[in-house]
Amino acid sequence: MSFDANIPQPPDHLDNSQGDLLTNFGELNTQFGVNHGAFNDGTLPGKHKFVTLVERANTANDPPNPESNEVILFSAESSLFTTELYVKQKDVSNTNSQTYQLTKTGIPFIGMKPQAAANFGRGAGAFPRTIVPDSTFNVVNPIDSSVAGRFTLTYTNAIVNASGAATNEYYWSIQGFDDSNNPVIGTPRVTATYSDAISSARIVVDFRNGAGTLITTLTRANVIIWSVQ
Amino acid sequence: MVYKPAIPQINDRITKSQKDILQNFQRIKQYWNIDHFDMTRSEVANRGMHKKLTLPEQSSDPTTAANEVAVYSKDSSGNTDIYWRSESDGAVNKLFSKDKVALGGLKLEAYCAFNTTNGDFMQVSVVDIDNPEGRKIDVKSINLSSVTVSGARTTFTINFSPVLSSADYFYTIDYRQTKVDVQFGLIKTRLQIQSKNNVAYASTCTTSKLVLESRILATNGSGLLAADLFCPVIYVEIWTVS
Repeated sequence: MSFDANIPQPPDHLDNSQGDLLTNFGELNTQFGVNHGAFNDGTLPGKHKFVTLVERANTANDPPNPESNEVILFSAESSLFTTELYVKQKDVSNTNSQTYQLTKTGIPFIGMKPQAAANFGRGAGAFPRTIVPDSTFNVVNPIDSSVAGRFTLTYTNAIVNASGAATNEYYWSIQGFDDSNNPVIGTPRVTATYSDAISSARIVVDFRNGAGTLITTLTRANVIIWSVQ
Repeated sequence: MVYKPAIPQINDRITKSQKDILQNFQRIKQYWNIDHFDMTRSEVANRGMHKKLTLPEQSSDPTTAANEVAVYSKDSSGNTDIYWRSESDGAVNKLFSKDKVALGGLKLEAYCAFNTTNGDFMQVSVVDIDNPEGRKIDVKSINLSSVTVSGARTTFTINFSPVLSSADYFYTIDYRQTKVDVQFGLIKTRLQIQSKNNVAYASTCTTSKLVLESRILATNGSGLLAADLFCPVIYVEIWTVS
């Protein structure tokens, strides 16, 4: 039996209404309890446990346009056929409604996404040496160094493009520090071929001084890898 | 006042049931109003809508069917962070990490774009097409209090507010060059903006600041030169693992 919003009716006898009322109260409690603390659950009075958002059509009428000073958060199918979060709100004119995609493949959608990062020192010992990084995201520990000033960062998971395919077409930020009072220039390794330095699986970075020589006394480096989201 | 989902029973009399039914309706109203607009709200259009979402921590990730996602919170190293789960019991991703947006592994701790002459944060003006006088949106900084310029515009101390939890952060430094070379004495030279490099790392990168310098790019150069000779604005981002 399901919730009935049309009971009790004026001519109904109580023995008729008893079952309907019983069902309604039970249904209210059950259905409210799906996403909220149930009415008979004193541990989560009225609060949400989690919010389940079933896909909307994402058309002009579904969901309907918001009023001024309100936003509508909903889910819909994206161009990649995944279910993502969207928001619908009035634009700056406060007349027309605009819809924005908030997430893409599960993370906030801003156009670019970080795919790897590492903060590390130069390590010690004979070459080739391994270095335990100070902080990482999607970079294998340890980091390899074949010669002073050159480091190979291997990714735990391959770098992928917006369609999810492995790619070596990504962006990097490479910063270094050596307390030498000289320039520190961080770049992918300058080799004859792009793919020798940059692949979906790893990046080889060099830190050189103003004379173009690999720096032997690098104190700290940090690398961030980005791709189009 | 306790909600009773199993009333009225078939043998109950109205004198007993009336009180139970009344209490049930009152409990529904009370709990409903925590996160939703009152069902008797005078603004009829708001009835059924949310005022806010209060998300107490869940002990496990909720299940999701096809074509639906779930937004919820759970503990992450002592913080109550917001997560979402993809359809069909898919991947679990953190959306917010202690008041910062989590971008699938990193979170932006601080950001600024500043003027290399005086350290003022850059302000972006956006014109409202419906307002002839224009409308300025102030895009200055995130979690930064100021940039201190010193050393004749060669050194820039970026002051974090609040301080960061660790000095093992990642940073990006970008700048728009208006000149390729600048005159330095009798020669033309190139410059680079980098983290300040004539002191220990622990003095340059701390939880309370990041110090940058405008350094000459020469084969054996050690000098600094005013940054605003070749770049008017420097952009800095500070990231940590989320």
